Amino acid sequence: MSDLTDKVRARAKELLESGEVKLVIGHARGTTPYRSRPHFASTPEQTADLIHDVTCATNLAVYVSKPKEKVAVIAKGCDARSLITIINEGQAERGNVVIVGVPCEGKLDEGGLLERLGFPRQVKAVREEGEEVVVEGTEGEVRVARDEVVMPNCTYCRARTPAVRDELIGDPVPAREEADSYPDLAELDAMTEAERAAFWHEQLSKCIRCYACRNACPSCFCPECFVDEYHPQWALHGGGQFRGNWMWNIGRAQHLAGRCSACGSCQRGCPVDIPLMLLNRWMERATNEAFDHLAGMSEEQKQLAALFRKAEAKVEHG
Amino acid sequence: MAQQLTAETATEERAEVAEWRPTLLAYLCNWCSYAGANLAGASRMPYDAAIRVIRVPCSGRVDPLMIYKAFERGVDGVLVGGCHLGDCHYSEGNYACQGRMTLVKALLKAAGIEEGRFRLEWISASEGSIFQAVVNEMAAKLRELGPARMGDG
Repeated sequence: MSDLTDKVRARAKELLESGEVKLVIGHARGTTPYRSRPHFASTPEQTADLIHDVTCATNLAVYVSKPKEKVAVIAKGCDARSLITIINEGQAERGNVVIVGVPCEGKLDEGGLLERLGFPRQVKAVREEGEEVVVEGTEGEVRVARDEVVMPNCTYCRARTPAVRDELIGDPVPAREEADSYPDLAELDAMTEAERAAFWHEQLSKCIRCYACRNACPSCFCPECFVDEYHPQWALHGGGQFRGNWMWNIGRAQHLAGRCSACGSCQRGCPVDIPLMLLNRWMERATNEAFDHLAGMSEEQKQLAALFRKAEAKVEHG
Repeated sequence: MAQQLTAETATEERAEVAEWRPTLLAYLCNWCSYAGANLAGASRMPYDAAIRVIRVPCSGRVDPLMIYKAFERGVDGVLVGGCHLGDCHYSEGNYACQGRMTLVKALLKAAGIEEGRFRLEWISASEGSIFQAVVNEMAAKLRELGPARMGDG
């Protein structure tokens, strides 16, 4: 059992026993040793199932929706960014959310890990050791460099320690140096317009419009999404229609501009492996350049749309 | 009555395709750009027939989705016209527009839609000649670029 897991359990137990919070949202072991699932502890006993390790990838902010009582969230950097974003947007009162920060050096991309290990291989346990991820299986131990098996967005994370938090369990880790250079966008940048259009045509044609990306996203909380509206019908329904899929994914990227915490949940949830983070990161770069805005990195920050006002205008259009 | 597809009409259709003309959709604000367009018309300034105008109460009314939807439905270019900064009938509508269109430009670039297909212009009610110039420039650019294809054409 890892050190961090023990600390998370102890702190969660304390919070519930003292009555400071009514609920602790964290992770528990999933159906396989390399998966975790969200866990909701409302009694001190239930905290015994909490874990925190390299498998805890789910962004837990998605489960915070106008809580009436105080909840604590075991938050990685991206969870904390999302929490601050939705709190700024009135989806929760700051006083009702306790951000229990945990440092994070990247979370496992299960698909990538299994692919790397090859099939069939029974995984018994996964643990972190220094910069490596150790996979214990029926055929012995396999060691892989962490960067090779974490989610792509973790390799350029700017919030490995939660920027805004009420407390921190464990030692802070510095942000990745790649955060501001956008190495993930280099490929897209190098393409011509026609190549980019062809790239997205190939990717978005796969979309089956299951909206897993929307469901996994903490920032997608609208009671009625633009894509569900019939009048006007922004995007034609049904998968396989490229133009409708294009409208959905581009519209979603527009609505997430300046609100995405780069947690990668949408891409992780996508059953057809569309690189959605490319669009989100592209927009993060654009909002960062034009408005010095990065979602959820400080508590005092305004919403992006508020920066469009006269008093905030930086550049005057010609 | 449904037109029967004969060899003759098919040839006509092909001829139509050969003579492709761009469609330029313009969202013009009621107070400035639309009045500017009106002035261009009243002053008999010729401008390109590619333009299709939708009048909006303010450039701040233009939802980015309205621009993406236009491209999705097959227009070749979109022009958004508003009052000059500081002249907005509703004080700050064009500032809101300016901010949003910054994002639109970035996202259209990511999606692979050429830069010249989208423009945001401030055109006042007295600037009929500027309206004419903008429309002509943009239509010429669209002719150069050809039909907007989103990788599927």
